[in-house]
Amino acid sequence: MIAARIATKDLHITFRNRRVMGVFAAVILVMLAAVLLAAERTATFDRERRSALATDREVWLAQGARNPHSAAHFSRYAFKPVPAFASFDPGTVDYAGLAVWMEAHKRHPATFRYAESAGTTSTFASLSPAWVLQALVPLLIALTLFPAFAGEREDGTLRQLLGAGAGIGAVFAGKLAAAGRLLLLALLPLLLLSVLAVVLTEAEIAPPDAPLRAVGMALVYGVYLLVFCLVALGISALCASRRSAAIVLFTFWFGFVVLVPRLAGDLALARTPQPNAAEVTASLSEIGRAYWNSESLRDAARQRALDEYGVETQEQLPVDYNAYELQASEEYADPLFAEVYSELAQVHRQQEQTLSALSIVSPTLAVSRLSAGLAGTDRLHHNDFTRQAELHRQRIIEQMNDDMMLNAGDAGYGYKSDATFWREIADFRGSLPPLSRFAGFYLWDLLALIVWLAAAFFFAKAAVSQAGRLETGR
Amino acid sequence: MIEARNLTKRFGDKMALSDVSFTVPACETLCFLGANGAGKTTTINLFLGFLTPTSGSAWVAGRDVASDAEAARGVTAYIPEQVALYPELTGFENLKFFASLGGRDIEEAELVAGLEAVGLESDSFHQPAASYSKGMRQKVGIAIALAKRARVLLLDEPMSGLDPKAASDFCELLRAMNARDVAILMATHDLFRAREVGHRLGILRAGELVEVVDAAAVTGRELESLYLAHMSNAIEAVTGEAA
Repeated sequence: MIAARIATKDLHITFRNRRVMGVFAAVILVMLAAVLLAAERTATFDRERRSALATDREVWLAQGARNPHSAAHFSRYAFKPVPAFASFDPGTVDYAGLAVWMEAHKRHPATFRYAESAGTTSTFASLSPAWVLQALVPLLIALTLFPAFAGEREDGTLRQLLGAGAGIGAVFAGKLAAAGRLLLLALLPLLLLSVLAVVLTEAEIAPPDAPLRAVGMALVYGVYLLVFCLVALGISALCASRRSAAIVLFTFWFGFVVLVPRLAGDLALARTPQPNAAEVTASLSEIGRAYWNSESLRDAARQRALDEYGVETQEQLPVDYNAYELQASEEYADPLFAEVYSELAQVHRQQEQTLSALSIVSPTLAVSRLSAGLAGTDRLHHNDFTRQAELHRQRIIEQMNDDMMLNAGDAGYGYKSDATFWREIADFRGSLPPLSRFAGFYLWDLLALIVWLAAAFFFAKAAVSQAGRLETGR
Repeated sequence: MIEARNLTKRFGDKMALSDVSFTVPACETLCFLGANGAGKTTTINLFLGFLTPTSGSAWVAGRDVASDAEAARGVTAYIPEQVALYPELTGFENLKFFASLGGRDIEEAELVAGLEAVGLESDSFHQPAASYSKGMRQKVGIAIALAKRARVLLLDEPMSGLDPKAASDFCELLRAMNARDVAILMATHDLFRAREVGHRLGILRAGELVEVVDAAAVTGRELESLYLAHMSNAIEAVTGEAA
């Protein structure tokens, strides 16, 4: 009861503080801009994806009569389904490629990164509701709560409060409740708008476990902002003046929200450097050529074909051997491609592990990783897309090789298929994996956030108790 | 209504209050006089539950403050040297908030009546407290006690810095509180105001309650002589020990 009255009083005072209200208005505007920009960006991605998919299909079907292997080099694109939650947290969407060219003999990396084409507007374009919640709202909390205890102490109202019958615990609970209500008032309409944007932007690519992901995000951000409220109240309780509380809180914000995540990224990269892109590309090309440069591999494939069809010579084969060999070369290269990509994934995994370990140092790091994971915009989800694209590539290349193998007769590379066959080559339809597949990767981040919550709570409790003791001369 | 039973408070080696006992019935005011460090504020803090006694006990309205601080604070009002109000809130809002901490939902009319009763100008009710003089803030402090229906009023140098008219008005308000069956314990340096408002006057010296006199039984000059005599004894005790 007393805590509720203190909360109401604190809210009244905050509403009359033009400085704080000005900052709130600014953050709300930024958040609104973030919601609208992110929704627009995701909608644009999806529009472009649909348009590119339609063009790709059109060009594919209109290629005319052509040898299936030639078509396999002409080939098609796998367009990444941008998750609906990308309009809330774009994660790696701007930096990871949006399409994979599914060519024969080659496993191309994802290309067409938004960041490459964003030019000078890239910084502005990265504005997202998740970034506002992760970086700006903690600053807003610091600016609102720095005088919570320090100001009451400076003005003498804390002693007056305690003398009027309020326990220090009730004062603490009241101030925490006021901060919570204020944040809810300011952010809830925008978060609802954000949810609306998610729903309206792209229902088609909403993950099947979207409600679970949404609840997860609400919980993660709730805990994260609670951590900052507790830390802000604790620091305010420890500081003798508003000024010192403001300085300490700003330093905390800059260190833990701005600096540590940035340093963590650099450290992860320094600890596990990214392989040289040119070397990886050369290695992939080498794999693609390896079969054709190896007489022993080609001889072995030929013998396998003869054994398989029970004939003595290549000429007796009931199928087109060129196509058989093309498929053999694919089957030789596919595991080797997988090995290269597995090594790349291992590098990514080590970088992620470093970041994950460092999330104990900064709650912002923990929440940014959890948020992108829940939104389906993290590197794990991206890697899953490239895995799906590769499986589709293998499927359609095999389909084209089979067409030539079974239907070429004596024509060999002179055999041509037409639109009737091209129509049988399916579009790539990626899907978002269920959250449960990646949950294990984020346990440490979740644990780090819980540790932060517990530490912040005990810190705030101890600091507030000490403030109470100092004020009453105990 | 206010009772100290062998109340003792020690801070490390320093004896702040030594075996002090007294009773203040409803309708009465006991003023504690004494030099800085004599134990006046320590006594008030013990009755507020801010401090825990080393031994003995402090009672308000039949409640042991140390063991039932919340209930004790519920019937106690406290007015410090500077009544601290939230500058962003009006006097009325401050009154409403502080009075509500006692657990009562108070009607607006009662709050307004409280502010009128303490003599605050009505046009200042809804002005921000930032614009209030010290006298106005002290009046709001009394209004809080009234609204809270406190049975015990603890005052720590409440008239320090008030102009004579404001101090006189304040004394009048304290007498009105007595008339409402409120027991008052006031710590002050001001012998004149103490004699004007107090029923009994206690002299504290180095944590000991060395004398309690009936205010009506002494003149101002006699009170001053008595006080100075106790203070010079204290000085002699200190210088004698040093010699």
